[in-house]
Amino acid sequence: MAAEPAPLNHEPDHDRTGGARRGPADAYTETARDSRFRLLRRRHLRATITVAVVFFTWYLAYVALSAFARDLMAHSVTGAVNAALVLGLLQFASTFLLAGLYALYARRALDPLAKEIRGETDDPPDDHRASDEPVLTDGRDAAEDFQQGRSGAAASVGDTQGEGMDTHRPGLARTQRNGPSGRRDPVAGLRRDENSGAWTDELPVARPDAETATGNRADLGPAPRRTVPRPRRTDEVTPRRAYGSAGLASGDAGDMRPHRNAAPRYLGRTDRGTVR
Amino acid sequence: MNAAAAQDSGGRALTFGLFLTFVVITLAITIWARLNTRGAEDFYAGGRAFSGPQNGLALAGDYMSAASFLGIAGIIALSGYDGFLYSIGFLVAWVVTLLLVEMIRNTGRFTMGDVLAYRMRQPPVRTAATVSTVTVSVFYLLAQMVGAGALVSLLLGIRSGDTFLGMPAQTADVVTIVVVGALMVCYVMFGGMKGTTWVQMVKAGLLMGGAVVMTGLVLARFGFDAGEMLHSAAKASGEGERFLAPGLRYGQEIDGDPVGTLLNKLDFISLALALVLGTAGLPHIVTRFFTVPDGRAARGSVNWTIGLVGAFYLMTLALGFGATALVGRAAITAEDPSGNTAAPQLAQVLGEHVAGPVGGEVLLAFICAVAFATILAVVAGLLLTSSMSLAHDYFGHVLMLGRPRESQEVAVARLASFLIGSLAILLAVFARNVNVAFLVALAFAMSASANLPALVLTLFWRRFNTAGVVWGIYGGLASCLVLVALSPVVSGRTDPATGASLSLFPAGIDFHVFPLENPGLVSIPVGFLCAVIGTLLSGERSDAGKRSEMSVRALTGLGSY
Repeated sequence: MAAEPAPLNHEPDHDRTGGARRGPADAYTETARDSRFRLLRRRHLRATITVAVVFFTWYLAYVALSAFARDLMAHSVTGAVNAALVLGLLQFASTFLLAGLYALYARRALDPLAKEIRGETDDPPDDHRASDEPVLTDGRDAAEDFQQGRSGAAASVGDTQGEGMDTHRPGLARTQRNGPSGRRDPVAGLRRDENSGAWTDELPVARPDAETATGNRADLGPAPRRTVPRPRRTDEVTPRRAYGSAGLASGDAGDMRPHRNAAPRYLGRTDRGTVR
Repeated sequence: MNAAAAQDSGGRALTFGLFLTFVVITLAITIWARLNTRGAEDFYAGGRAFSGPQNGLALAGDYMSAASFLGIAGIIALSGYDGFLYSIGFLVAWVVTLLLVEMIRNTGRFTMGDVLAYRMRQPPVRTAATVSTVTVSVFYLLAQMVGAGALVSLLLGIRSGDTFLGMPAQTADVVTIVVVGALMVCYVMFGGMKGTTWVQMVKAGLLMGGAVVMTGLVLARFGFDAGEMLHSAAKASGEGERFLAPGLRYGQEIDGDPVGTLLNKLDFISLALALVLGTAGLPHIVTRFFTVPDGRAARGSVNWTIGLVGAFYLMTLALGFGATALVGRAAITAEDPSGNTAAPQLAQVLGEHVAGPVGGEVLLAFICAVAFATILAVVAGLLLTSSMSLAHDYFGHVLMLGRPRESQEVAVARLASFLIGSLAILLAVFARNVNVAFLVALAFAMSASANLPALVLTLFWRRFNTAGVVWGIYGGLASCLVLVALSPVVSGRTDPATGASLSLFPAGIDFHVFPLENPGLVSIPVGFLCAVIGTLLSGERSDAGKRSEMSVRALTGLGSY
């Protein structure tokens, strides 16, 4: 199910606000247009609808049989075990099975993709101080990214962020996601179309794990940094924790502005790593 | 074999001792939680520091009320297979939850209102979310508390005419409700989400442990031959093979009345729909999703819950049929006509078989203590959710326009838990003699008709807008309430033999128009329809920016709390 080549029509024109900085809406809109995100949405929708239709049909069939096909349900299978009991136990089995399959699919086909997208465009909307802080860079910049043929979206958002920031300051936690550990590497099951630059769904079910992902990268240019996971993966858990105590003053759910005094109390307490 | 009568003062003291141990442990947890709760994040979401398995255990503890432990075992013991139908609905419902949990976790912060209001105009949506959360939770809470009073009295051997600690049964009933209510308010006010979660985890552990022990003992009695157990149950029930097939309780067939039969069957389908679609929208379940660090952990916790709930309901099958075979239907109905004492009575019989009268008392005391723990953990979860919604959604985002101080909002949440808790105690005391068991099914139906359409449409339908949410919630709630008010639950159902009223109103008052007892079959489509019509009628265009923001956030977890 190759995706239609979604044109990434957002060249790195990050000058709309007069500088190299974008608002949160821009970042989200950009991500929403990203062909990888579209792919994620398509996969998610397909999986959700499939599971919902299967379970609902099967459950309603069972309920209808219980209500209207009493003779059939009372039919003995072996000894005291009748069809009703077998079907009821099958409902249990199918629930376990569906839940397991969905979890497996999500882990293989959705999570890596979501992580990929997250690592790429997690733009702290109000973290302007990030750029004011002294940052350590790993010597790579956005231009280099372009030369390496990464997607426009990646670079455009990436270079607003202080690429490769490697500090553990709480205020920068979110930006850390864009550190060398997890960004811009194609995710399992994805291949980049040479001409359009769009990411396509090469295989409907993605590869099971990160190893495959790194193996897959060979044809995508040198980006060896992900092969060795950093001792401390910050891309999954920590940022949320850092923002966790964000005050209520920040307003509605959509407002992700961190509380100025947000104390990252859980920062680094545990690290439920994301490496599978 | 009379559980309450056979339980002498020694057994009663043992039950009391175990219950007190549970209370002391949970109060210690509450004090610990209070000392470690410092802000809204801690109070509302337990610091989001729970792991998937922990939250899965707590979800199971939050979900499996006394209705599922004692109620389903009782229904199976009295009506055979039909109790199993109930538990299947309760379990399969978690598939819907599994499909939504990650998106809800990623887009919300503390409450269901956060998710619903994400891309909508805040005040109307938040108000609607609060109304629906508080209504559903308080109805459910009321059912649990009234049930708790009756049950605790029953389990402690307090019955009419009997006295307990010098109190007549009526007083003891009230005292029980007040004590349960006061403990619930304590857990929530001081422990917040942290305390409540740990209480629920302890309770879920106890419940699973108790069920495993009893299932093992039941199966051992039949030589680990399930077929033999079913045979004995069918024989002891006096119904024969019919006992093992659907139809004894739900969707009963009335000879010579095809319309009545069809209505009974539709009523059963209506109940099944509400059970399966209601779980995902239950506010106290939704708020539990926010206690884990991210969407993936939330999904993991629901997987754990499915495993635990599924295993538990499989065990209730053994408990129910075991009770029929070993205790007998007559002995159960003599104790409690609705069968709630089937599991404790079975515990006594099993214990006696293993270790004589002492063993019977020990096991009975243990199962009684588990039942108390079950009730306490569930009511605490319900109270926490309604006070959170009142403080976070209504106070924080409607009254204070989304700019309250954190400490202020948490203080309001604590105050709200005290007020709602007190109100619930009062209502439960006044309603203690009313049969309010239908409120559980009603809470599920309201959740499926009001909350589920709004949640699903806001996550999956691009055009959905503020008016849609508001119409959907109020439409779903109203249709449920009106249909129940006009149903035989409230008026017009009488016992064909005695002519006594089986409804809320006394015999003679009959204004029932809607023939089904469960409104779900009609009200769930009405809820969805209202949401769609509201959206289409209002000229409001949904905010494209917010929409992609929500969609990106829901699926990737980008920027989630």
